[in-house]
Amino acid sequence: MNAKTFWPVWGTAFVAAAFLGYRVNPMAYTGGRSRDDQERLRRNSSAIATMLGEFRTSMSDIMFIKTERYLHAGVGYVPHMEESVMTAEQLSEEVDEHQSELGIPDDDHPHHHGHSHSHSHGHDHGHHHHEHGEEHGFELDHDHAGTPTLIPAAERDFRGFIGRLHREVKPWRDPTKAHIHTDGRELIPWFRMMTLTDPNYVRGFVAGGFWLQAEDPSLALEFVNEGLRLNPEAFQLYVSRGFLTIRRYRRLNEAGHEDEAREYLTLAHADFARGAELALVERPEEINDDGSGPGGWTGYHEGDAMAAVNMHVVTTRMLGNLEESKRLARSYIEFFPDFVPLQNALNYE
Amino acid sequence: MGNAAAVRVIAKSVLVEAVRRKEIYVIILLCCALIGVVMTLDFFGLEGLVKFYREVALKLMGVSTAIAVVLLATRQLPREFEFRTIYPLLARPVGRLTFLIGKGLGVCAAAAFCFGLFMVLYVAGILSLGGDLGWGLFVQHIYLQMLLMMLLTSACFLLSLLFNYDAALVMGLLLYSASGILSSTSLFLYDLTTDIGRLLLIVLNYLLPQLVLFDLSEKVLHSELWGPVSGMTLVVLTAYALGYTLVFTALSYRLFRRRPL
Repeated sequence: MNAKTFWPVWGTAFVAAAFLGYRVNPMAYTGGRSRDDQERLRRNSSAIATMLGEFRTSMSDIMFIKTERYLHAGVGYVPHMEESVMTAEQLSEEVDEHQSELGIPDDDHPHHHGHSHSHSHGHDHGHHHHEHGEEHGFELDHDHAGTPTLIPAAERDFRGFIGRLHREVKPWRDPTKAHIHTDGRELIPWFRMMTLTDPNYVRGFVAGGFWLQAEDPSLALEFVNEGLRLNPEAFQLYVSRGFLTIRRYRRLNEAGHEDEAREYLTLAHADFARGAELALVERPEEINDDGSGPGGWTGYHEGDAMAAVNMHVVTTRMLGNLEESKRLARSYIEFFPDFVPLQNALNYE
Repeated sequence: MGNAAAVRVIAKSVLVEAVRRKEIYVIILLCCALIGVVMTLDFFGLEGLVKFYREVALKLMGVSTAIAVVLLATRQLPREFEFRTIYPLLARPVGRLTFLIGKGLGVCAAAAFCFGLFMVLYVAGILSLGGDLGWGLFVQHIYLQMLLMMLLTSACFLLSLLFNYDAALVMGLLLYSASGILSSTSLFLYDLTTDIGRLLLIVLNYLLPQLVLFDLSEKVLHSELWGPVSGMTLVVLTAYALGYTLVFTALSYRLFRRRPL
C-alpha cells in the first residue's frame, strides 16, 4: 500500500469501525436457547447483533458444556449434554447436600481451598448415592453409571484400534462405572467467562451463583446481583437470590441471631414474591405434561416458577402471615393445580 | 557430501530461514499476548484457579505451533520452484528424497523450536501460579505433539505437490482443524447412516490420519486424576504417525520425482 492510498483506506476503516461500534449494541441481543422466541426476534433486528449474538450464545453453551466436562474430570457423557437442567431449588439443595457431606461447616468459613467435593452444577442430578474416592479430589456418583460416553465403549465403537487409542489418550471411563465428580471450584472461571461472553445467559448466573456460594456467599450474591442488573426480568435470578439469602437466614437463625436472621428472611421473601410475579407473567397458558410450553418455556422454567410460588408461600408463613400464605397458595393453585406443596400449605394451622 | 550431511544442511537452512523470517516469533508473541490477556482476568479474586489458564494456554500453544508448521511446510517446495533456488541445489549430488527429508526435518526442527519456547513459557506460568504440572503426562503430551507436527509436515508437503501454494495452505489448515470434528461426526453418523455410509466411514477412519490421537492436553488438564498413558500406547501412536509420514513422504517423493525441473 503506497502513501497515497494508506490514509484514505485506514481513515475509512477507522470511520467504519466507529460507526459499527456505535451501531452494535451487544446487550440488545438475546441468545438462542431457552428464551422467548418473539422477544428474541424483536430484539435481534440488527444483522450484526445477530451474528455476534449467535456466536456469543454458542460460546456460552460450549462453556457450559465445558463445566460439565470439568466436573467429570474431562470425561464427556452423552446424557449430560441433553438432559434437563436443574432448577434453582434443586441446585440449592445439591450444594447444601455437598457441603454437609464434605463437612463444610457454614458460610462463616468461606475460603475452603483445595480439592474437596461436589458433583453437580446445573444439571439434574437429583439426590444421589455418592461415595468419596480413595484419592483426594473427587467423589464417585453411582447413580449415573450406565450413561454412555461421547467416546463410545469398545463394543459400540466401529473404529477398532483407533477407538482404543482414542479412549487411551482422552479422559475416558467405562460408562458402566460410577462417574468421577471433581472439585467444582475450577468451574468458576467458566461461569465468569460465559456470562461475560453473553450477559443474558441467565443459566450461567444461576449455576455460577450456587457454586460460588460454596466459596464465598457474598461473592455469590454479588454475581447473582450482576445477573439481575443485566437481566432484570429474569425470574430465575430472583429465585436464585432468594435461595442464597434464605441460606444465610437459616444459619443466622441456628446461631441464635434471630433479629438479623429475620432481615434476611424478609429479603428472601421479597425476592420470591418478585420471582413468582415475573414467572407468572412469562409463563404461557398452555403447559405440556413435561412442564414445557410455547415461547421457549421449558421444564426448567416451570420448575423455577413452581419454586418461586412455593417459596413465596413458605416465606410468607415463616414471617408469621399464615392467612396471607393461604390466600397466596389458593391463588397459585389456579396456575399449578397439581402442585402438592401448595395444597399442603392450605392445611397449616 | 553424504546424504546425512546433506539432510543436515538442508534442515538447518530451513530452520535458520524460519527463525530469520520472524514468523515464529510473531506467532509466539500473538499467542503470548492472548494468554496474557486471559491471565489478567480476575475470577472474583479467588486464588489457585489454574485449570482455566492451563486449558487456554495448551490449546493456543498447540494450535499456534500447528499453524506455524502448516505455513512453513506448505511453502517449502513451491518457493523453491518459484524462485528457482531448487536448481543449483539439485545440480549438486543431492537426491530428491534427501532434499525432501532435509526439508521435512527442518520444518520439524522449527516446530520443536516454536513448541519448545511455548512449553518453557507454559511451565514458568504454571509454576508461578502454584499449579501442579503432572510431569509424566506433560512430557508425553510434548512427545505426541511432535509426532503430530511430523505427520502434519509430511501431509503438507504432499498437499503442496498436489495443489498450488494457496490451496495447499488452506487444505493443510483444514486437515488440522477438521480432524477432530470429522472424528466425532463419524461416531455420531455411524448409527444413523446406511450400510454404504458405514463402509465409507470405516474407510475414512483408516484413510485419514486421526490427529486427535496426538493431543493429551485434556488429560494434562486433569492430571491429578489421570496417570501417564501406557508405553504400549506410545509405541502404537509412534508407529501410527510414522506410518502416515512414510506414506505421505513416499507419495510426495513420487510426485516430486515426476515433476519436471
